[in-house]
Amino acid sequence: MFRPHPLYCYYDSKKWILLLLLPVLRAVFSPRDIVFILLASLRDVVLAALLIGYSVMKWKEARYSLHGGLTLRQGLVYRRTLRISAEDAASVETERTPLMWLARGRRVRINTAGLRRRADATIYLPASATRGTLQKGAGRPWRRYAARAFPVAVMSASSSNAALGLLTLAPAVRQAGQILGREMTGEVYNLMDRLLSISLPPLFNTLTNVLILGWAYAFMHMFIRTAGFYAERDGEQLHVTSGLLTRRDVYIDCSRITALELRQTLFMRLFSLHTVTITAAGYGREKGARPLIIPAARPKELCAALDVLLPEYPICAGSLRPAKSALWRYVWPPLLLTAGSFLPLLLGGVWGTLAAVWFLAGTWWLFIRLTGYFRAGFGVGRGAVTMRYPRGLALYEIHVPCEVADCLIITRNPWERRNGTCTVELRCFGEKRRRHRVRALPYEPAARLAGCLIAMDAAAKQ
Amino acid sequence: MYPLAFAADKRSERVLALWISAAGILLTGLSGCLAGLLTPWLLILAALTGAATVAAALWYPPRYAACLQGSFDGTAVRAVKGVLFKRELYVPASALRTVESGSTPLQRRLRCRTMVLRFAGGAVLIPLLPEDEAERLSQALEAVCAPEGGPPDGRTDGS
Repeated sequence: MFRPHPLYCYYDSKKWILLLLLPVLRAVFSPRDIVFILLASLRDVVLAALLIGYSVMKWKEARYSLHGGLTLRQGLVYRRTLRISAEDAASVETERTPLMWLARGRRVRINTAGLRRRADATIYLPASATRGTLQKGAGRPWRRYAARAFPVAVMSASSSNAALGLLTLAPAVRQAGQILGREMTGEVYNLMDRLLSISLPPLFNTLTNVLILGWAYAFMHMFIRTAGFYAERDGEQLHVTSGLLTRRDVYIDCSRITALELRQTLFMRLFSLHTVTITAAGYGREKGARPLIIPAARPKELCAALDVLLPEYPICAGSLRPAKSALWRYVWPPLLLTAGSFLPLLLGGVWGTLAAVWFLAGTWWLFIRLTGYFRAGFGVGRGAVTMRYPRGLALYEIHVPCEVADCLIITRNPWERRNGTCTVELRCFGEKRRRHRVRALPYEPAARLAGCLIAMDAAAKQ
Repeated sequence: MYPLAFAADKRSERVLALWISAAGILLTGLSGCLAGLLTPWLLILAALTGAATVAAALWYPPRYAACLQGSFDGTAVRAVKGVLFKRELYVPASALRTVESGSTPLQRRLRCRTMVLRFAGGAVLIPLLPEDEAERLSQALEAVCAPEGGPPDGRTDGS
C-alpha cells in the first residue's frame, strides 16, 4: 500500500484555506488598532491551521493500492476502505492542472456504471504511478483521431451561444466605430458599423457589453477545455485527451458506450460541422463537462473518425420521417414567438430595439425548427435505434444499440390521433437522464418499428 | 403462461373516482372559504369547480379504466394508458432493473396496486392495476429478471 501524492492535502484543505482571508477582510472593512486585528485574526488562523493539519493527518493515514483495480483506505474519524476492481471501472479520468504539472501529481477519477453525481473514487497519484497503471495495450491495434483547431474554435463559439454573442456584439462595434470614426473614417469600417448597428440605446449597450464579456468568457473556457483534443482507439479502450491548461485523459471501456449523439447548432450548420458525444458511465459526469469524442468535424471527416474510433458501433438510418402535414407542429412555437415581437414594435420608441432582438431570436429558432423538421426521423435496424430531432437551439441525432434501449413510449394527443401521427420517445441510460423525442411521426409505421425493436432486443439477448 | 394480459377494472375506476371527488371537494371547499374571506364573487369559482368535479368523476374514470391495458409476453411489457393523451409503453424485460408495486390505504381497501418498472434510464408507472393481476405480472417479471448467479462482485464500502 502506498501513500497518495501530497497534493491530497492541498485539495482536501482547499476549502479551509479561504478562512485565512478573514483577517485581511476584517482589516480592510473594519479598521481598528493593530493589536485588536492581530488578536481577532489569531482565532481564524488557528482554526484554519487546525483544519489544514487535519487534512495533513488524513493524508498521512491514507493508503492506496493498484493491484487488479483500486483499493483506497482513507479517513481518520470514519475510516473507509473502497475497492473497485478493474473490470468494474467503466471509465478512468486523469487530470493535470498547471499546479499538478509543477508538483508532478495527477488527479485520477474512477467511475463505475452506477448513476452517481460524482466519481466513485477520486485519488491523487504521482505522475509515474498514473503512467504505469493506465498506459497499457502494447501490441494491440492503435488508431488515432486529432481535432483541428478551427472546427474546435467554431464549436466553442457555437456552444457559447453564438447568436447571443453576435447580437450583443453589435452595440460594442458601434461604440468602437463612433470613437475610431473620429480619427479614421475608413469606408469599410463604416460599412461594418452600419451593418451591425441596430440602434440600441445606451442602457442596452451596457447590458449587452456585459453579455459579450460573458460570451467571450464562455468561449475561452470551452476553447481552453477542448483545444488539443485527440482520441485514440486501443483495443477495447478509447483514450480521449483534451485541454490546453488543464489536461484531461479519459480511458473509456468501449463495450460500456450506450449511446452516440451527433449535435449541430445552426451556427455549426453554416460550416457543416457536427459534434459527436457519447454516453458512457462516468464520462462527462462533472458539471459543465460534455462527453466529446469528436469536438467538430465535417461529414467526411466525421465518418472517417467514427470508422477509426468506433468501427463496430451499430448505426442505422432514420427511415421514418415526420408526416408532410406536420410541418406546422414543428414551426408554431417559433412563429408565435416571432409574431410576439410585433407587440413591442407597435409601442415604438425604445421598445423598437427590443422588438428587433426579439424578432431575430424568434427567426433563429424558426430556422432551427424548420431544419429540424426536414431532418427529423426514427429508425430501427441493424441492431440499433436511430432518432433525429430538434431540441432547444440545436439538432440532434442519436444512435443507441437495441439492447440498451430501455423503454420506448408512443404518445398520441387528440390532435395527433386525428392526423394519424404520434410522438416517439426513447429512454436509455445516460448521465444527464435525457429523453429523446421525435414528434409527428406516422403512427402505424412507428408502432411497427417499436415491435421490431422489442423483437431485435429479445433476439440479441438470446 | 404467456402472454400475460392485464387491464384495469371496476375497482380501479372506483379508486380514481374517489380521488377525483376528494380533490374536487377540497378545491370547492377552498374556493368557498376564499369567497367567505374575500369576495362573494368567488362563489362562482366554487360552483364551477364543483360542477367540473362531478363531471370529471363521472366521465373520466370509466374511460381511463377502459384504456388501461397491456400484456407481457416474456420478452417485453407493453401497455396502453391515458384518455386524452394516449401513451403506449414498450419496456424490454431485459432492461428492467427492479419491479416495484405499491398501494395507498384506499388502493389496499379496493384491492388495487400501482406497478413501477424501473430501468437504467428511468421508470414507468402502470397505475391502478387490480391486485391479483399486479401480483401475477410482478411474479412473471421477477421470474424473467432474476439473475442466474448470485449478486455480482462489486465495491465494498465501510471500515
